[in-house]
Amino acid sequence: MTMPERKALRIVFPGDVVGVAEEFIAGDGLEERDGFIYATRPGLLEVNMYTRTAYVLFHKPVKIPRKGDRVLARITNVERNLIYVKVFALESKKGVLPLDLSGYLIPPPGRRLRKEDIIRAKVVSPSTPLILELSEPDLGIIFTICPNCLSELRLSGSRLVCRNCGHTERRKIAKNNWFKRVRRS
Amino acid sequence: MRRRDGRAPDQLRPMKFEVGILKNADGSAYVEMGLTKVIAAVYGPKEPHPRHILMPDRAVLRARYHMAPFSVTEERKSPAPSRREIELSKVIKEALSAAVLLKQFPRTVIDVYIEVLNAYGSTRVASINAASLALADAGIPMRDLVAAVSVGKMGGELILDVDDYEDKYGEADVPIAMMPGRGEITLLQMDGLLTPEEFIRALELAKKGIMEVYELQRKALREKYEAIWREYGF
Repeated sequence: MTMPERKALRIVFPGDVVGVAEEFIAGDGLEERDGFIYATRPGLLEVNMYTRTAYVLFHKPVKIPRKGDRVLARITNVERNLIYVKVFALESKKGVLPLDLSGYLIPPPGRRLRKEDIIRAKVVSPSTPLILELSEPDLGIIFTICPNCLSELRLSGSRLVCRNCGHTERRKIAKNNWFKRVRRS
Repeated sequence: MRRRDGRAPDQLRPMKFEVGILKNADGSAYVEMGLTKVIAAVYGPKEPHPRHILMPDRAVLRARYHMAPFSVTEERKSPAPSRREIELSKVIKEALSAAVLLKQFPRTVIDVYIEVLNAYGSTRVASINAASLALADAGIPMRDLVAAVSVGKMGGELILDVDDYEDKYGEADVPIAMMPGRGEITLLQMDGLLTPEEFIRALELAKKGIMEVYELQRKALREKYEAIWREYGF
């Protein structure tokens, strides 16, 4: 018989002693103090039996992204060495969580970004204002409009094409983007 | 001695605690202590505005205690924040800050809004009880829940959980907030006169009342979370 990976123990509340430091590693929702592990939020205490990490499952996420999280943001201002963004959502396995945070983007070398571009970025520093980057293939622009006529741009191969004025451009486009593809006739 | 409302000196008023009553807030709670009715809502952690209040190493906790214009009997209370409300906002913020693990959310703000719907004595302790539950409901990490009661003196005798009449005509009023699991006091004020011996007895009486409040707070959270996790199949 194999041991289950995760074991739900009980419902805990802030201040509850859930064990001693030798038993588990204190994960999310727990803190270690004077050799004891205390719950810091209400929820279901669970233990990962393989890593011996205990954590408290909370029924709703706290609205602060962590390092490495993917967020969706709108570029609000572009300066030479810094791009200002407004983060409006956090992407996770469970879905998209609305956020309202400011952040900076480290400009990717040679990749043009414009005001009002919608991007998917990785959180480098989670304390506000967030610091974001676009260095991985799934990161980049997920939606933007034509700089000439403000029409929707469509994806044609690796280029963005405006069906209204014929403008084309190459941008750092994210893998899983929101662009419609140009239908080839 | 029996009190004006028939309670024994060491008896709390009938209490009601509810958690998660507001859908739009990150955390919320409703508390009734006798005729005193308080609602608390928590928002955050979120980006601070104005930006200059942010702290680089921790979150900023802001509390706003407000009495609704219809919360008092005499005449309509002005909805503008009074000197008393500003002071109570400050002491409530300090009573809660000791329990919240603010260092986990640097450069953010946590807002606690407290609205007194009906004031009938001990509104500050009811507010602390409600705000503490609302913070827990919002998932803000805390060292312990903060539970509070007031102890007064009337007719030379110490009384627990002072109501409006006892507050106005009593000889002393001592609101006390604690983290009961840790035995740490986070709020202690005194209005009136107590001898040192009476003060020590008042603290003991308060601790007894706080443990009862603490159990009611935990019961309210348990009811909500048991229902939630039952839905998830645990």
